[in-house]
Amino acid sequence: MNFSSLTIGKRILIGFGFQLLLMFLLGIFAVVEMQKSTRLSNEVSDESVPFNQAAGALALNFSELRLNARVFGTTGNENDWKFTMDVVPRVEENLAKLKELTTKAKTLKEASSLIQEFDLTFQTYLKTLRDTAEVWAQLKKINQDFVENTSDSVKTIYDYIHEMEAELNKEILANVGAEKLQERVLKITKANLILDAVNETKQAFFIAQAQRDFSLYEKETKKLNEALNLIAEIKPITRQAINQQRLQNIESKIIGLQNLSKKCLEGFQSLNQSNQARAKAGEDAFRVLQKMLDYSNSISSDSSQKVSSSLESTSRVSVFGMLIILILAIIGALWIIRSIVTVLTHAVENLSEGAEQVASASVQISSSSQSLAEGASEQAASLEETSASLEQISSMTKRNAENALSAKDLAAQTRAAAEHGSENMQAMNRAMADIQTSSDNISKIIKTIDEIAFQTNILALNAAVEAARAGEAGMGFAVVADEVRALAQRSAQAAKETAERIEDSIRKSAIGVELSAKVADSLQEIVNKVRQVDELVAEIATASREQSQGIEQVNSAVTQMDKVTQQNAAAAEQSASASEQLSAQAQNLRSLVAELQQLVTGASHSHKSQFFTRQPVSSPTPKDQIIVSAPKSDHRKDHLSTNIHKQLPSRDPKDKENISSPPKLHPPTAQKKKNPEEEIPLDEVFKDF
Amino acid sequence: MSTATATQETNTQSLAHLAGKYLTFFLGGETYGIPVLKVREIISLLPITPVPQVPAYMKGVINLRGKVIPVVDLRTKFQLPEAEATGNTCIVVVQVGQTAHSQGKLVGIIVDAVEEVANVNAADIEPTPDFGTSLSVDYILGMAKLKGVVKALLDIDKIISAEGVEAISSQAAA
Repeated sequence: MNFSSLTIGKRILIGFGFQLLLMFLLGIFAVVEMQKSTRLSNEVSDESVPFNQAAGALALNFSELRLNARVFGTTGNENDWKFTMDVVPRVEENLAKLKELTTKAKTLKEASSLIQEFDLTFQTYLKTLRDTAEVWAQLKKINQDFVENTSDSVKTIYDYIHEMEAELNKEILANVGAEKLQERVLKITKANLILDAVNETKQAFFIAQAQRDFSLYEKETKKLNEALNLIAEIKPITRQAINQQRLQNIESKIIGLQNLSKKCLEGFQSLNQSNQARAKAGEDAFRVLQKMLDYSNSISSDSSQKVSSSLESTSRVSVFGMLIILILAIIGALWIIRSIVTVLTHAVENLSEGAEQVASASVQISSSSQSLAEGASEQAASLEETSASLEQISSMTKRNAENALSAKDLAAQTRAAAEHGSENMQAMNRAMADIQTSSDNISKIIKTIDEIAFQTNILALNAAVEAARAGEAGMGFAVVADEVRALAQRSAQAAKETAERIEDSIRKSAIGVELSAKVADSLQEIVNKVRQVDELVAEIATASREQSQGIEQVNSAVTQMDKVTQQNAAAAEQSASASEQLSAQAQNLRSLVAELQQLVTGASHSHKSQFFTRQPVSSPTPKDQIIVSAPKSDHRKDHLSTNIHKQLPSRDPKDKENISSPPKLHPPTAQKKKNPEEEIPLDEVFKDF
Repeated sequence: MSTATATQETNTQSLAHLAGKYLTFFLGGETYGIPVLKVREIISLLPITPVPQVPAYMKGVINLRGKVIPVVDLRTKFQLPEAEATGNTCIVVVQVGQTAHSQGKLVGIIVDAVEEVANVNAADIEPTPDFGTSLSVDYILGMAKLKGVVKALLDIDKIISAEGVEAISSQAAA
């Protein structure tokens, strides 16, 4: 497809269409990329983020659980246990939520193994937690026993001491010897020491429990051994049964305390162990959780990164595409504008030139129109002369036609006569042939005569010879023989002459036959020629008739020509006035072209524009308009000519008179009535436009 | 001229015996004459029977009323060109070798045409002109001037020797 052959509209359409197509493609690309990003971000919002949230919540709950468990592990408080147990369902709930998310999600396949692992560690952790609770329950029982034991011990010891003190007081009052008193004081002192040991042990027990330092407590438990020793010391000196029982009781209690202490120590050790195990399980679980969180974070960040990279690439491509489209648009626009402007500039230059030429041509047209008018009137005069001559020619042609007809008749007669002569000639030929046969017969007869003469001659000679032999006697015979011989010779001579004559007549008749054949040929030729003459004369007659008709047509044509010439004269005058209008229009055209030039090239042709300001056409009639605009196209010319033709008859009375007086030699035949345009080529007249 | 006239006069004496009647005939455009007493008969052309081993001028023999006679073609004899026989061609039967006691032999000679029996005066006879030593002209008796035409008078005995004729005749008879 040739670009330079396109219209401006098509060029612009193609340019913009190309741009729009590129824009549309870019838009489609952006939309597709955006949808991809949307899908990715949907994945993030539907899967990664909830997973992350649930994992976070799980971590939080688990941390709370761990904290509460830790508190419970250290305190063993019932409330703490309750708090701890309150957290467990929430952890399980979050775990269930995570599991559900994992099974649904497309991007979280690896998370299910992590969740399972966490579930496993979590169960372990719960088990350790329950172990701790058990340990604590045991410890509490030990504690209770311990407290009870110590309280009983202390009460018993107090009872013992009070008894002793009461005894002492009695003994003092009774003044029982120093020895006895001494013994009693020793007992009281020892008992107080035992009480102190128990109390200290109790104190150390609680301190140790509070501080979780059982080394201190172990030291104190040694005091229980001392207390046992003291009991053993006072035992022998105790005489009363109740007191002995009391001592026995105390001893058993202290031994129980020792056992409890041992148990408690063991319990705390197991608590420590349990706590450590739980901590370890918790750590494991938390590590798993941490992994899960890391995984979740990585998934989220990966997805986000994907989304962001996709968006980034989309935006990059969009920007790049926009830039390319912009550049292409600029180039295309420049190209289209340049091509259009080049063409327009060229056209405007041509138009400018054309306007100038039209302006000058209009002046020429004016003068040539005047000369045309003069020529037309001269032509009219010549046409009248022509018409008169044609009349003469026409009458002569008619006479020719008549003469040709009579010549044709004569030729026909001639031909008939010639044919008759030919027939006669043939009869004569036959007669000649008869003569020849007769002559032949005669010739034969003459030959016979000749032979007879010859024989006679020989006979005569023989007679003469015989006469000579006879001598004197044969003299008379010799004379007779001589006469006979002379007769024979004469008859031979006559026969010879006759033969000659007859031969002559035969020869002549042969010549006559020949001549008559020639004459017959000539006659035949004459007949042929006469026939040709006849045909020619007939043709001449026809031609003359046609000529006559043609002359009539020519005459009518001349009449038309005359009419048209008158019209031409009028038209020439009109064209003279029209050419003035044309000149004014040319000025207008030039100013318009200048404006167009300014519009196209942007160059200031203001001097021209000012010079050729647009002039209004002074009172342009529609006909004048047509004349002015006539040279634009050929069919417009035809319009013009018909227009003139229509308008002419009412133009000038004088012309009308001239037009209405064509020489009326032959009335124009209807079939030969031609359009004036066909006879007078107005196109050629206006070609100089 | 005077000497010629003298010679003529001297010859006239010797040629006087030649005067008499002569049969004149045409041969090859010329006219010749033979003494009429030598002529036996004139007949029109008959069919000629050729005879072998004879000279060329001997055409053959003819049957003349029961008598076989040889025929000589004078044209051949006179070394003239051959010619076709015409209606005027005749055979002149002559007597050759005629002596006091012998009638001689009859021989036919073929001529183009016979003319007439003319009477030749002695004054009209001229001697045979001498054509040179090598040429034999003794068969010509003389030259006769008849009606302004010179005619050779032939000695037929010299032209046709009796012996030759006899030989032919005997052959023909045999």
